[in-house]
Amino acid sequence: MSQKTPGRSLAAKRRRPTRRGVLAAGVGAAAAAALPLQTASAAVDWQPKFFTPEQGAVLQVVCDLILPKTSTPSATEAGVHEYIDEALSVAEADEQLAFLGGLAWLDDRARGSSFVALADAEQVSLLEEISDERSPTAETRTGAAFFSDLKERVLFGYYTSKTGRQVLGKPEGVRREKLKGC
Amino acid sequence: MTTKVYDAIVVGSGATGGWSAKVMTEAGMEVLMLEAGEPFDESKDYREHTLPHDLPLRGRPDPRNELLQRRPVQTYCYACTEINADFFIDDIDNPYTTAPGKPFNWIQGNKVGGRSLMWARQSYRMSDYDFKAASRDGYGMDWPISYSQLEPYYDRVEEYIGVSGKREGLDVLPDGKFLPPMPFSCGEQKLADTLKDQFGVPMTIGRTAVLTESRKGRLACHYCGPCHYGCRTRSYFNSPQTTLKDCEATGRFTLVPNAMVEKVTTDAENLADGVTYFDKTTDERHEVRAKVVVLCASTLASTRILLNSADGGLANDSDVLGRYVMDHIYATGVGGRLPERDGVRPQNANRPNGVYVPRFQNLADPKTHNKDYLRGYGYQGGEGLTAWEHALYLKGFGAAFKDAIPDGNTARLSLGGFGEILPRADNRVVLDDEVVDKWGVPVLRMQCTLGPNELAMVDDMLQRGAEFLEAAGVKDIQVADEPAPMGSGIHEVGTARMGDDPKTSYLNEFQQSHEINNLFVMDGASYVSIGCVNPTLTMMSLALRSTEYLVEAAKRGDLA
Repeated sequence: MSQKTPGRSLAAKRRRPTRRGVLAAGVGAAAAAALPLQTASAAVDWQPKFFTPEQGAVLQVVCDLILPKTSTPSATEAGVHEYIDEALSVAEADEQLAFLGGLAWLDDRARGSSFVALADAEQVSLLEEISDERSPTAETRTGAAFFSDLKERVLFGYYTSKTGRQVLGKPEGVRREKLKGC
Repeated sequence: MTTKVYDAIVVGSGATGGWSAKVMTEAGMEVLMLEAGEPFDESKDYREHTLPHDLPLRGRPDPRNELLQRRPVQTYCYACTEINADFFIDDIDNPYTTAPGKPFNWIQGNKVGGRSLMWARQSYRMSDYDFKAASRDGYGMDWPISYSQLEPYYDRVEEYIGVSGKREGLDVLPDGKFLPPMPFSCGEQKLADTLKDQFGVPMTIGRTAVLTESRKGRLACHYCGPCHYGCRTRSYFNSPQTTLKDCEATGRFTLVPNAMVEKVTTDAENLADGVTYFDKTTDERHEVRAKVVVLCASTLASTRILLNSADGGLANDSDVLGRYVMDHIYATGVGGRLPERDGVRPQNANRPNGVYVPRFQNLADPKTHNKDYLRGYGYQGGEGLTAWEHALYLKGFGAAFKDAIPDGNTARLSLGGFGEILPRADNRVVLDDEVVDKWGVPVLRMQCTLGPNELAMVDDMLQRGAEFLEAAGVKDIQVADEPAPMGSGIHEVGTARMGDDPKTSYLNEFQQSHEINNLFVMDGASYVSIGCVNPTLTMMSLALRSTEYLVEAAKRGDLA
């Protein structure tokens, strides 16, 4: 399979609207409405089934760090965090533990703060440490394994969602008369 | 009250049972069909437009789904998923055993229509390379019929079920009565051109029982994708939407679902006089009577019924019953990336069909002869373009990562071999001495393995396949070199083979028992050799031919 890289600077990835305050403080709908992202209401209203509200907040941030809102919707706008919550709720115990361990690793690395309370750039650089663009070190091994698991779940959850299928040009109800061929 | 005596009982409502019952009811006979599976309801059972987000885990295995939990064997089949698991048999209630070191996957249907509901629909004719294989290479036994005898029945079955395909004029893969073919993708066209120009090997689009033009209450395919979940437009062939409807229209047809047949019963003159069955909903045992019994329960289920019907098996003086199990060598093949197609977005992703490379070994031309093995194989495969899956291999995250996904599609060409397994007397199924099913009926014990001819064929299949792909520009070629356990091809056949000699065969050329005139086995059990093409089209053509013989013989009084 392809090993192509995007070939763009990391700086491009840092451009992302903030919603950190909402996630950290759980502010109300009025403040959320002022934010550029649609995820705010989900962040406030969402009651995770498997995760604690705090874990759910970290999950939403990392989902949108991987697939932020661009010309197409973000991961949380596509409900990826809800899919991951559902999938983890019925997963084997070791799978659950590994995932929770990954979320905890992020908070742990926030050094006295919590991951969601970090500035955007700090969140990005922490994720870069465990990204598949780097070889894991002894220190980042747990985080790197989590990143890889998380990324797979985010991509699968995104592109199997209603929103993701629309992004792919596969909206509901479209059928074809003929195949195009070559 | 006297017991009703039907003109015929047909056991099984799948591809062959549907044809046999159609011919008999339309000829004026009153037919009782017994089906072990549940009733089929097109409006409820067909869920082909279910989308991933309609399911809690988007189609990934859900441990909460009890239907899946009860199908550890059936889920081997790609077609058995959360959406349609109830099309497949419950493995817990319907066990079988295997001999040590001889694994076997037995995939079975669970509804009226049997496996015709979720079959892969590939429909090829056998040729005299298959029917007369023993005369060519000295191994095994010829079929009691030749291609020319079956040809008119192939024509009629294809015209009725609807097979799309392209005429190629090949001896080894006779052309049929085709609806317009589906197209190749560009990657497939490249492979086809390469095979033709560099190796002299033809490649054609799959011949498939999917309508490319509407006909008689069935609509042309709308390319939604997963035929194995059903089709409310009736675009692919299955028995409930075609042959069984014809049976019902005669007013001479009684269909009993949830009826698992235990044995064929015989009278004082050693003629079949009916069957016994268990009603799976009440567990009650029933007896029914008929002048003729036709088994179409699927190869191994029919064999099990016959083995349970008498000590040593009913009408089995030949000791052939249960022997010569065959399937296709399955799950071995090659695949790799076609870089020149990188970045192309899927166009034909929902084409319910692949490409076909007909057998090109051990044919008349000496250049095709192979010293390492007898018979041959064909390839089924095609081009696959990723929709989003390539993103799993793109490094990084964030906006730039996300923006690179739409142009990052990758293409893959693959060729999977379907190889002929030779008939061997010791590849057999027997009744298990100890294990019985939920209704107390002894279950089958499978004792089947691949032999040296098959393993030699696998080596060649992989080597030639890699050469072909490489010549077409495929990179990073990967090889699947572990053949699946027998049964996995879901083409199991051969356990009550036809032949002219009652000493070496169970059935005559009309799938009629050599010993009991009014007993027929019209499914894959009757196969003499399997060839390398998918068997259902041939099975249906044989059932049509045999049932027309049956009807005439019954009229003459020859079956009494």
